[in-house]
Amino acid sequence: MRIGILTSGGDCAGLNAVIRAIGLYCYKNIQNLEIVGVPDGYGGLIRGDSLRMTEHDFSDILDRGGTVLGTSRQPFKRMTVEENGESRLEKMCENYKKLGLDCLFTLGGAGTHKTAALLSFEGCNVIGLPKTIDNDIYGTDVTFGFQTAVEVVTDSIDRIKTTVASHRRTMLVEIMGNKAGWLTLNSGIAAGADMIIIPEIPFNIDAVCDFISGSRKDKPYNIIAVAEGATLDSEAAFKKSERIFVRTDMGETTVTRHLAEIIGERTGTETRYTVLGYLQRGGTPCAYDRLLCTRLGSFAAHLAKEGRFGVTAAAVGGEITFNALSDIAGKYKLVDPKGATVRSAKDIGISFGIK
Amino acid sequence: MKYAVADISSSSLSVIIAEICGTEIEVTGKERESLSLLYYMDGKDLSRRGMEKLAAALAQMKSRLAEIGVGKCWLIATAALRHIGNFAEVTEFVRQRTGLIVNLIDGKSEAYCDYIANRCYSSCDRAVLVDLGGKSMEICALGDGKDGMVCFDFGLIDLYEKFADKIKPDENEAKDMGKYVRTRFDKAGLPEDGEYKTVVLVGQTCGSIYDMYKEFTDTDEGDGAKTMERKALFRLIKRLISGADRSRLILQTAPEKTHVILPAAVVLKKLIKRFDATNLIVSDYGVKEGYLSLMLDGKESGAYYDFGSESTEGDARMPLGKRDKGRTGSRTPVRRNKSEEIPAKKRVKSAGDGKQS
Repeated sequence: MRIGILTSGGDCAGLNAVIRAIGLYCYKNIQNLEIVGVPDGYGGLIRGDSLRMTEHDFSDILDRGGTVLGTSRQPFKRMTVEENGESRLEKMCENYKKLGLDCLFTLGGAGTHKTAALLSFEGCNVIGLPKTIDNDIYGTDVTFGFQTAVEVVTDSIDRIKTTVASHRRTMLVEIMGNKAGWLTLNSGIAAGADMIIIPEIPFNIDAVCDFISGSRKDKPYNIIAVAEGATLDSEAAFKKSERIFVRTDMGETTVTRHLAEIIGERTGTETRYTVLGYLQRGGTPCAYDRLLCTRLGSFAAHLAKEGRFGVTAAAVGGEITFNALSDIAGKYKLVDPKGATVRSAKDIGISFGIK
Repeated sequence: MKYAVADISSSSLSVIIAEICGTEIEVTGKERESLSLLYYMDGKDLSRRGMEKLAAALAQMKSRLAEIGVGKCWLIATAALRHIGNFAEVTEFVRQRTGLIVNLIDGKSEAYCDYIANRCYSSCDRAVLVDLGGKSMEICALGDGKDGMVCFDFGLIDLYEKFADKIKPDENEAKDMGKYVRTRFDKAGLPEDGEYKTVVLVGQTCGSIYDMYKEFTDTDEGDGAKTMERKALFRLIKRLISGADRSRLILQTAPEKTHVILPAAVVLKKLIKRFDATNLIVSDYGVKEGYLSLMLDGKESGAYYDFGSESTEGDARMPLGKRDKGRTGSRTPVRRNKSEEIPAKKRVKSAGDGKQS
């Protein structure tokens, strides 16, 4: 059996731990095995690049951040567009055959899964693995990399908090998450933020300012966790393209800076903002993710041994299982504004910037 | 009272919510969750994971129906579930997890439900209903009632399993599929040229083809009837069979129907050409609406879930012993030597004959 592994999209902690689990399972449980790594994600498959991986290559990468295979972003929209008479999808299918693969593991987020579904539809034996710090892949309770990012963001807010408290400021902390607010919600709660603003719950500026003014009676500083995809209630009806147009015209892609200015002006509190940026992706996986990655990788390799393709590994109710790619591709798992986590936060007085 | 009928197909769980307004049944809501059962098979049987997925989807659906105040819900399953090897285990699992009992609908009853739901199209010029399912296909002349039905006990998944090497058939495989379908249609005595002018397409797969058609032709749905222009549909079918972006087209509109969209396109083209039909209508109504109508008229049977008493009432339709023989759900090609169609009692006649039931 000749197996390929690729990592695609933005990196996150745990990619190497999954690669390791796949490799070790396969070498221990599958006869006549050859594993190749496809460098730089789908980019490598489009070019037809590969590198042979021995058992030794998998032995010492459990706690290493990033991905030993390298990664790249290949927009899904471009996959079926013909370039010089051939689409990227066609090139990938050709190279899948040329490389003699019996199975390809694709480690990635929602976009990677959509492309994996395309490959599967074209007859490639694909098994996906749910990677993203956004935790927005449909059909799995949790994605690998998410928990590590929660730890990193929580720790960052903890550190910011000491400065903010000393200077009696209001601090907006911008956290990754364009469509889904899981990372902002979970780390915001874990770090004791006063307000959490996420894309799923469009915020109201008056409500935000009223809350900050009111809370100053009890507390001399405020932490607001803001997802980069946070949306004003007045923008909620806009299409994404319209929102981007308006923001680009204002010279920004997110609402955080603008919101910080308004809070400062209206409440009279010294207000700052900080963007955590790529800090959130980097570093070694936390113990939870190492365990999750090992379970997901091992299970995915078992699926390959069984010959079950066109699926992606998933964590559901504490168990590791699988979903059909066709059932999850193109869908997102978003925060339920009426869900238990949001309710718990509201119950202890955390504001979501709404009236 | 609000009523609901949920249908388990090979690729989705769908539900309609309806209320009685005077003498009419008005469908007030529809929901659909993709569920590609084919990916959850262990040979002939639905795997444990497949059963869990099905039960979880049903439990979610049930809780949404309770939220919106539905009083009674019937759960039906057509050929897709009927042909699962461990059908009894699956239905028992569903019952234990959700309290819902599966009512099995055989091919002929499915066709009749389609017919009942679409009688309004009887006034169309020489109309025929076409329902393309995963494990069966129903063709029914509008106006002829049960006499005008032909039920094929092979469906789109069977065609995929028999002819496609990969997930989607290539051009040659599509041609072979077309030849096979034509032979089966001939054997069943399906009418040819000029018999029907209007084809009314029923069911989720035909609905998905219409969604693709809209995307392909950049058509706005509007408030009127869903219609397709024959030439444009054939262009879409050609693209689905050989176009470079066919996978993207399917993924955007109906990812859970990957295995069946191309067989459906092949069958549809064969039928339209065979009938030389020019009016192509896609109906919003199908087996669920027809079943509900018949149930409320007391002409159908089946167990239902009563949300008031939180219990199941009545007996399941079509007991296990009477169900069709199990057939493979695996990729193994389905090969049968003799024609297994249920022969039409009489030749399917056009609605233009003026006979209506």
